[in-house]
Amino acid sequence: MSRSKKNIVYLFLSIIVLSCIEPYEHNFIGETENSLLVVDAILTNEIKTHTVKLSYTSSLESEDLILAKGATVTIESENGEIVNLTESLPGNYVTDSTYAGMIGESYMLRVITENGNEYLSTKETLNEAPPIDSLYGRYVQLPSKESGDILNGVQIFLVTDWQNYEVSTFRYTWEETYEWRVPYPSYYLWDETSEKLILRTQSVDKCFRQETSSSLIMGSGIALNNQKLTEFPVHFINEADPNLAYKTAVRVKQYALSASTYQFYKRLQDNNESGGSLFDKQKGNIVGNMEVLTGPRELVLGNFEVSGVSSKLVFFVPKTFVPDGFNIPLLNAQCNLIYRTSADSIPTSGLADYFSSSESAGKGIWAFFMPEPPGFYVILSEPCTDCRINGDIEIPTFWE
Amino acid sequence: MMRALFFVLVLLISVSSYAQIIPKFNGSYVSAPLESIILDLEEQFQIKFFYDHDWIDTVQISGDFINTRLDTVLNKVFTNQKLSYFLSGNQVYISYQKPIINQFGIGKFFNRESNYEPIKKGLIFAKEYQKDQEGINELEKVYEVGDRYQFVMGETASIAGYVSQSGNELPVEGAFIYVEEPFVGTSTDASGFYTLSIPTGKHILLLQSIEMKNTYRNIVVFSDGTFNIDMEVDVIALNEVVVNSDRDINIEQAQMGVTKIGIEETKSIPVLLGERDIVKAATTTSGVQAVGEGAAGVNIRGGKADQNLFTIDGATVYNTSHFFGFFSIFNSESLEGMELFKGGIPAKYGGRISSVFDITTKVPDKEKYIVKGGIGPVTSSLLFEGPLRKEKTSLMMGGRATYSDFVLKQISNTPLSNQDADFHDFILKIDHKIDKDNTLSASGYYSFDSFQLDSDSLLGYSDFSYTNANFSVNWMHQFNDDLDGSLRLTGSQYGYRIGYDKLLTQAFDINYDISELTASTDFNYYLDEKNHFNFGTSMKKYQVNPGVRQPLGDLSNISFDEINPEQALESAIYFSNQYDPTKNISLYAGLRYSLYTQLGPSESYQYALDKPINQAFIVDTLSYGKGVPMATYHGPELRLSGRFSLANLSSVKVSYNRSRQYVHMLINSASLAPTDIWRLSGKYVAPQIADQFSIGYYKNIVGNNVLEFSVETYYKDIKNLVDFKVGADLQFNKAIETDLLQGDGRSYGLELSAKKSNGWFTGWFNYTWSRSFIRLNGDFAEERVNGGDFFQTTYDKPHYLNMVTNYKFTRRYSLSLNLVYSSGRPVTYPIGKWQFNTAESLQYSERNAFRIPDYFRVDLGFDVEGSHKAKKLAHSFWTFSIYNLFGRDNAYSIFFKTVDGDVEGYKMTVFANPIPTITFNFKI
Repeated sequence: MSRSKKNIVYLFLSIIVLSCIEPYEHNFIGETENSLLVVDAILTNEIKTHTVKLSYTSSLESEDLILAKGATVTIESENGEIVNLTESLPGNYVTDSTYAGMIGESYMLRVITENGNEYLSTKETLNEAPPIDSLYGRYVQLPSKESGDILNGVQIFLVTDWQNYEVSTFRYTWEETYEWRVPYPSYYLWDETSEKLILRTQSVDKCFRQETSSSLIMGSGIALNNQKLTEFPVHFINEADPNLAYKTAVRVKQYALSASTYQFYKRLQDNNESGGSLFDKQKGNIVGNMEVLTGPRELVLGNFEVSGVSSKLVFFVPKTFVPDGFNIPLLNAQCNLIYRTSADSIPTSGLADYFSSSESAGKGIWAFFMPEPPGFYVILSEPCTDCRINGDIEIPTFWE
Repeated sequence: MMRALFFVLVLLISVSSYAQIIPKFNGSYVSAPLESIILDLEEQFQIKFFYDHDWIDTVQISGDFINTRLDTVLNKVFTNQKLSYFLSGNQVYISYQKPIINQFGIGKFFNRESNYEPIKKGLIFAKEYQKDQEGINELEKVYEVGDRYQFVMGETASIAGYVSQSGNELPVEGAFIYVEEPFVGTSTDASGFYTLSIPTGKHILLLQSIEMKNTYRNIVVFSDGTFNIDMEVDVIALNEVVVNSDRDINIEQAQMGVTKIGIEETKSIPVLLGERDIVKAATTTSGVQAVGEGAAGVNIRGGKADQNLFTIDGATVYNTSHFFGFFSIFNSESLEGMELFKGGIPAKYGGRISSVFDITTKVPDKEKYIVKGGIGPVTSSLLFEGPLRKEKTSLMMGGRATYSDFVLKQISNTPLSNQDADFHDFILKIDHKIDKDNTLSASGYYSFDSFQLDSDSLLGYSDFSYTNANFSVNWMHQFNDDLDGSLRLTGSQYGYRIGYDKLLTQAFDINYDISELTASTDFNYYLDEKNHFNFGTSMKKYQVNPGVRQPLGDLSNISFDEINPEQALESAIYFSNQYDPTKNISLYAGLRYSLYTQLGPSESYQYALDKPINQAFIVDTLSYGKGVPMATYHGPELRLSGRFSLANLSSVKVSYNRSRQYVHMLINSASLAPTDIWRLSGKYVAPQIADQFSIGYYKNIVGNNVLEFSVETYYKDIKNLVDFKVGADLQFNKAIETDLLQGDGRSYGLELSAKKSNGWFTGWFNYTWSRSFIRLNGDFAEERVNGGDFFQTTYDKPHYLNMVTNYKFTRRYSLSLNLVYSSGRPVTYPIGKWQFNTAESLQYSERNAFRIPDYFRVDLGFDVEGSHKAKKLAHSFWTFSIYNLFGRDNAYSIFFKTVDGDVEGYKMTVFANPIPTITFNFKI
C-alpha cells in the first residue's frame, strides 16, 4: 500500500476518532431569570446534627451561593412525629445533635420558603445498610481518566453482601487519615523575648492529614451475582502522593439508597459529565424526589436522601505493597536546605539578627534542624520541619 | 411494467392471428373508384369496411392483384393516400388524414397542445438521404414518419411510439426524447410509450435514458405517425441527464411528495471518501435533512429518524449506516434505484409515519457477464452479475469491505493504534423468469460493523458490533392482461453486541436483536384506462430480545441476566384506487387498516394508579403466557391525493394521509447511535399516529431547457411521539416505560425546488422552511418538559438550503458542486449552577432552547470517464472529490465542562478540514 493512501486513511480516522474540539464562546448573560430552589438534604440513622441546605441556582459567572433564608423546614415521619429544623446559618437548617432517623421508618421533607412556596418530598423509607464485609488494597496500574497516563498506586476495594437487606443500591464516601512526617523535624524553638533557642517539649515530626471523597461514588448490585459487591473499587491512592508513606487509615461509609435516589445521583453524575462524543445524551435538569405543592409551576432541584449507614475502617501500611512494586513516596523532595553547610550555617550569635531581619521573616524561615554536632543550625522552610503546617498533630481517637 | 408487456402481447397476438387468414385476393383495376375495390374485398374476405363516402368518392385506384394477401392489398390501396385503414378482426376502419393506432391511450396524446411557435423545416437530409438505406446502421438511416402525401410544410405533427430495449424489447421507462430545434421534449411512461408534437420536416430525434446508451435517429416527419425506437443498454451510463425520469411525473402523477432517485443520480453529487451513497443523495432533495456530519439518520418533514421505513426489495432495514453513519449500508453498485415517499404515501406502505425509502436492487443482467468494482481510500467494492441460464435466470453478487483495520495496524505509536474499526457487506440476488407470466426473484443482504473505543468515550462501553441481515423472496404472477399480483416473503434481523472488557471483574457483553418476518400479497387490477386498483395484505411477526447480558471471562463477577423478550403481530389490509376521470384530473384514494397485538410470554410491571410511571411506584408484576395478547391497537389509515392539471404544463396536487407506527427506536442522543434500541408498542407505549396534509403547485417550463419548479407545503400532526426523561438510560433497562415520555408532535413547512435536468449543465436547488415541535405534558412534574408547552424538537432546522450542480465539459469530464446550508439544531445549554452534596451541578435551560451555529458546506467533485469505445475490454472512471471545500469548521455539537469551577463551552467539529478523495471504478 502506498504511503499516500496510508496517509489519507490516517487522516480520515484521526478525524473520526479524535474529531476536533475547540473552545466555544457563548454569551450566557441574561439567561438566568429562572432561579430554582435547590434542596440538599440527607437523613441517616447516625446520631448527629442533620443538615438541610437550601439555596437557589445562580448564574454561571456568579461566585456566590444564593442561600434560601427564613424558610420553614420540617421532617415528618410516618408515625406522625414532626421535627422542626432551625436555621443555624443562613440557608442551613439543622436538627439537634441527638437526632437520628430510625430504620424502617418513612420520612418526608417539607419546605416552605420565605415567599410562601411550599415543597414536599415523596415518602422515603430509611433502609438498613448492610455491613461492609471487607476493605482491602492492591497495587495496580490504572489509566488516568484525565490524561490517559498510567497511574501506579494502591486501589482500595470493598466487599459487601446484602442478602436479607432491602436495598441493593449504595453510595459511598471515604475518609482517609494518614500519617504525615516531615523530613527534618525541628527540635528547637526560637523564643523571641529571651532571644534564645528552647528545646521543644512536643515533637513536631509526626502529624496526621485527612482527605475526604469529593465525587459521587455509586455502587449497585443490579447487575451482579449473589447480591454481593466484590472487588468494588472505592478509592485510589497514587504512589506519587504522600498518603501511603507511613500508614494510612481508610474509613468507608456505605449509604443504603432507595432506588429513586440512586437513579437521581446516577443521572446527576451523567449529566454533569462532559459531552463531546458523537452520541451525546439529551441534557436537562435532573428532577429528584421534591415536588412543588404551591408556587410557580416549575421545577425544584435537589433531593431528600434517606439512608441507613454502615462504615468500616482499615489501616494500610506501604510495606504490604512493596513486593508488588509499590515505591514508597519520598517526602523530602521539596526540602531545599537553606543553610546547609557550616559556611552557610548560622552560628548561635547570629540567630537574633537572622530572625529579626525582614527578609527571613518574609520567607517564613522559622524552623531548626540541628544535626550533630551542635553549635550551628541548619534552617529549612517550615513545611519541611514542622508537621503541623500541613497536618494535625492530634492523634485521631481511632488511630491504632 | 406489466401493462407494457400486456400491450406488446396484444400487438403480437393480433399480428399473428391475421397472418393465418388463408383467402387470397385477385382483381385488376384501372382508375376504378375506391369503393369498387372495397366492395370486392368485403365479398371475398367476408369483412366489413367502415368509412365516410365523402372521403373516398373522388379517390381512384389502379393495380393488379394476383393471389394477394389482404394486408398487402390494403397496404397498397391505402398507402400514398390521405386515407389510413385499421383492421380489427373482420372489420376495416378507414380514417381520413388521421392514422388509427391500435394501442391503448394513444388517442389522448395526439390532441396535446404544442407549446412552441411553428417553424418551417426542410425535408431532406441532403447527404444521408441519398444513400442506399440497405446495410447502414440506424444512426445513418433516415426514417420516414407519417404519410408522405399528407406532408404540409410548417404544420405540426404528432409522433408516438414505444421506446424499448434492443434485444429483449423491454420498455424503457423515463427515457427523454427531444428535438433541439425547436426544443421539444417528452419522456416515456412505464410502458415505454411517448408522444411528441413537432413541426413536420426533418429532425434529429435525440434520446437519453439513465440505463441506456444515448442515441438519436434521423427522421422525416410527414404527418402524424408512429415511430418505435430501440435503445441499447449502456455499458457505462452517461449521466448527461441524470434526473429525468420524473420530468413528466412531476406534474402528471397524482402522488405528491415523491422523489425518485436512480442510482446514476448519485454520480452527480460529490462523494465523501469515495463512496457513492443513495441515502446521502436523498438528503440533497427537498424536505430531507441529514442529522449532521457523520451522523446516521435523516429527518423527513419534521419527523424523527426512526419514522422512516427503509426497505431493500421490500425487507425492512433497521440500521442503515456503516461506521457511525459515515456511509450508508447500501452498496450503490447493486441498486436499481430508490423511491422516497415523504407525503402522499400509497396505502401499500405502512409501519412508519414519516416516509418510505423503497430501495430496489438491480435485476441482474440476463445477457452478459459484468464485473464492476471501485477502489477508494477506505473501502473497496466488487460486484458480479450475469446469466445462469440465458434469458431465464440471472445472478448478482457483490460485496464491500473496508481495509481501515489493516491500515490502522500499520501505524504504530499513535493513539489510533488502540482503535479498531471494520465493516463489510454482501448482497446476493437471483432472478428467474419461470414463464411469461411468472417471475421469481430472491435476494439476500448482510452487513457487519464493529469498532472498539476507549471506555467512557461512548456510553461506557468499549466494544461495539452490529449486523443487519435481510432476505426477500418475491413471486410475481400475471393472471391476465388486467390483473397481476405478487406474493412476497421477507425477513429482517438487526442485532448488536456491546461489551466492556477493561476491568476483568466487570467484563460483560450485552446482546440485542430485533427480527421480523413478513408475508405479504399485493395485487394490481386495471379495470379500464381510468381505474387502477391496488390491494393486498400483510402479516408481520416481530421478535425483540431487548437485552441479554453475559459475563466475559472467568474473573467476571457480572451475572447473566436478560430482559423479557417482546413479541408482536402486525397485520394490515389495504385497498386503493387510482382514478383518472379526465386527463386533467387524477385522484387517488386508499385505505389501510392495521392491527397490532403484543403477545406473551412476557412480564409487565404494574404501577400505582395515582403516581408517575417510575420504578419507585411498581406495585405488581403480571405474567403472560405464550401467545396471550398483552396489548392491542388498531385503526384505519386513510391515504388520499389528487392532481389537477392546469394550463401551461402546471398542476396542483393535494394530499392527506394518516399512518401508524408500532415500533419505536429509542434515541437519546442527537444522532443515531449503534446502540439505539427498537422496542415494540405495548401497554405503556402507544403507537405513534401521524396525519399529514399537503398541497403543492408544480410547473414545468419547456423552452430551450426543461425547468421544473415546485412549491409544496405540509402540516403534520403526530400523536404519541416518543421522547425521554432527562438522563434516561436506555441500555438494558427492564422498565423502559419509566424513562419514556409520549406527547404531541406538530410540524409544518414550505418546500421550494427548481430543477434543470437536461443539457450540459444540470442541477437542482431546494429551499425548505420548516418547523417541528413537540409537547410533553404528563400529569406529573417528571413527565412534563418545558412546563408542558410545545417546544422545538432537536431536529427542528427552520432554514435548509441545498443545491447540486453538474457541468459536463465533454462526455468524459464533468464537474459537480454541492452546497448545503442549514440552521443549527436546537440544544440545551447550561444557564446556571447549583450546589448539591458538596459538588457543583449545572442548571440547564429549557429543553432545546438554544441552537448550535448554522451549518454550511460546499463539496466539489470531478469525474473522468474512461473512453467510450464499445469494444474496449474494461471501462473505468475516476472520481476526485473534495468534501467541505472551504474547510469550514461546522459545529457538530456544543458541550460544556466544568473546569476548575468554571463552566467552559466547547465546540466539536467532525470535518474541520477539506477531505480530498480519489476513487477508481471499473467495469468489465
